[in-house]
Amino acid sequence: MEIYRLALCLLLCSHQLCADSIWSHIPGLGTVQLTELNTEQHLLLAQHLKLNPEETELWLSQLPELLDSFSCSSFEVQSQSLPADIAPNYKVISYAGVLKWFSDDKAKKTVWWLPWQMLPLFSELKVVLTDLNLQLHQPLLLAERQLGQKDQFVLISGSFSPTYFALLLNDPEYPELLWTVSPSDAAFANLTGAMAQPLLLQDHSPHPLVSPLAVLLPNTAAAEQTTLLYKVDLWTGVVQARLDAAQNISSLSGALAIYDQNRDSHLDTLLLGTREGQIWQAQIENNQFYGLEIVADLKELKFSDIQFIRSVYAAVPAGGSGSDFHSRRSQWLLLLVALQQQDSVLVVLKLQSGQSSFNSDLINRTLPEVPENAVFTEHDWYKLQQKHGWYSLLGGRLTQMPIVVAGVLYLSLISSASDQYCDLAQVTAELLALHLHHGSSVYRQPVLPLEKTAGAFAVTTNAKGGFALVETNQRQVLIENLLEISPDCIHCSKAMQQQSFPRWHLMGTYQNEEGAYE
Amino acid sequence: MMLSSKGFILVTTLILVLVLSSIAFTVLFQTQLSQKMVDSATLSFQLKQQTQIKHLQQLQQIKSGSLDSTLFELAPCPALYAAWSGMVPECKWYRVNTLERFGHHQHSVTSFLVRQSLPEGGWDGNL
Repeated sequence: MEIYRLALCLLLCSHQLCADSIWSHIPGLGTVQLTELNTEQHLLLAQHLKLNPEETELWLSQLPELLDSFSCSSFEVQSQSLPADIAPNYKVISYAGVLKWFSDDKAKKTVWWLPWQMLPLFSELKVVLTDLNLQLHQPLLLAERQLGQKDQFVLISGSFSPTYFALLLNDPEYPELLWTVSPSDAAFANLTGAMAQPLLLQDHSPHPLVSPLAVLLPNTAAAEQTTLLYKVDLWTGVVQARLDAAQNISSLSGALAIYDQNRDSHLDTLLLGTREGQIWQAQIENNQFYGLEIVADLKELKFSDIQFIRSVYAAVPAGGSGSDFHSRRSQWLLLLVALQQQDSVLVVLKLQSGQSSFNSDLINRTLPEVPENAVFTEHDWYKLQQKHGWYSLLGGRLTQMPIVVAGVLYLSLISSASDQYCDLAQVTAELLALHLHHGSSVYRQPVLPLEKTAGAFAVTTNAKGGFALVETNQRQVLIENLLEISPDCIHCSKAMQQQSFPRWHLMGTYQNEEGAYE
Repeated sequence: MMLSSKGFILVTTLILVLVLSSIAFTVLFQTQLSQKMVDSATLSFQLKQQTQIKHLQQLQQIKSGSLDSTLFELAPCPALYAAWSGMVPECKWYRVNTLERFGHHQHSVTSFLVRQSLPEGGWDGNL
């Protein structure tokens, strides 16, 4: 069977059918397949590339080879899976806006989407892709669950050109452009950079006819920006609101996060940062942004870009040691992963209203190279609690958004020499599991080496009545028995058991007495 | 002279009787009152104990799923030391109210509980 399949593939590969399909969108003409252009489309492409027809023909013939040269297997670890009901076993990756969706099954076609504005910029793109000081943010995928519409799948991506665009991918082999925005549109005249991950925002609109889904698009660039962020309608790309900066903010990174600061079940606070490590917070209510304030200034850590921002609500130890050990404060923690000389740095910061944190307010909790040197005493613990947070130099590049499971931070890292970054054989992959509150190693082995680079994480139940950490791309089990941290002592942890769920917490009891005896 | 001395003794005796009876009456009243107070404290204590025992039973029944209670959407999960990122675990808030009456007296105990559960089977990386 395999031989027949191989023979069939060889036969097809020699033919156009098995070739990659490469799509773009010609303004005014619609979505086109670049390998099947008619004369008019060909002419428009030549004008756009500023080439004559023969040169355009040559450019088109070399295009598959050029696109292949963009492919970097270490980078493709960041790919996201397409929904199984839309395109089973397909994954999508964005090379600064050049999208590739592909399958490990060689019989399946690889599809490329090239934003029209990027076609003349491929030589510059190559430089961006090899710059390891930058984070290449991935697109926002919205499936049936988020869209609330059956069999719909939308992908929204930023690009190097700079443009943002949304694709309707109900049939992955025939993508359709929903909308695209670029500085040539009057509403986006201030757009100077779109190398970012768009963020979904669900409004709580009182009008049922108004679409409640919106997308936040950061305006990233090196220069000082007047507009930091656009809020656009998900289906049309029409601007609904802008976050304008009164302060001098330049080099905004493409990492964004939104969280529910006042815990009323509505996402109301936006976190964004500059590439150097200034983290800002702004409130958002319907179509209004307000209260832009700085929450951290970590310039001294010399970041080159922010990879990920996320927030976690936790009971943070606030007492100290000894009899005060159990006193805790409920508060938001900011998890920040930034690049410093191509390697990632993790920062865990207590978000305090009206107070901004500096590098000096953080404790360096980098794991020592020799595990025996990792000493963390009660005094250190007390000192850390008086500070605003901690940071850890990870010694590799983070490939996925960090996740927190039962108080343990799981981080998937790769490391290699910079010139061999795309050679998967030269890349070492590791998994780190750190204590959320003080960054010590939770498992006996501080760094868990991985056979293959890890994709997105998932947690599943195991046969022993506990939980396991798996990665979704290769379905490899990363940790067989997950631990949860315990507040009983600094390093206390225990195996997480299925039977301990559901857990009940008594939040409070009050009594009331009325009336009188006769 | 004899008559007036008899009248004086009578009046004095009557006054004495009156004073003694009022003292006795006050003491009796006071005793009754303090008895009532003691009783009311006992009754109040018994009522409180009864309500609390019933309340604890109700909490146990809620946890075992044999009692329906007011379920309400208040907030996401409370802060945990062993925190999670994203919307895992799922939390449901319950309000359990126990009311007991005795005559014109009533005592109520209200508790707020959170049920923290994990999605069955497993969950993806959007933690």
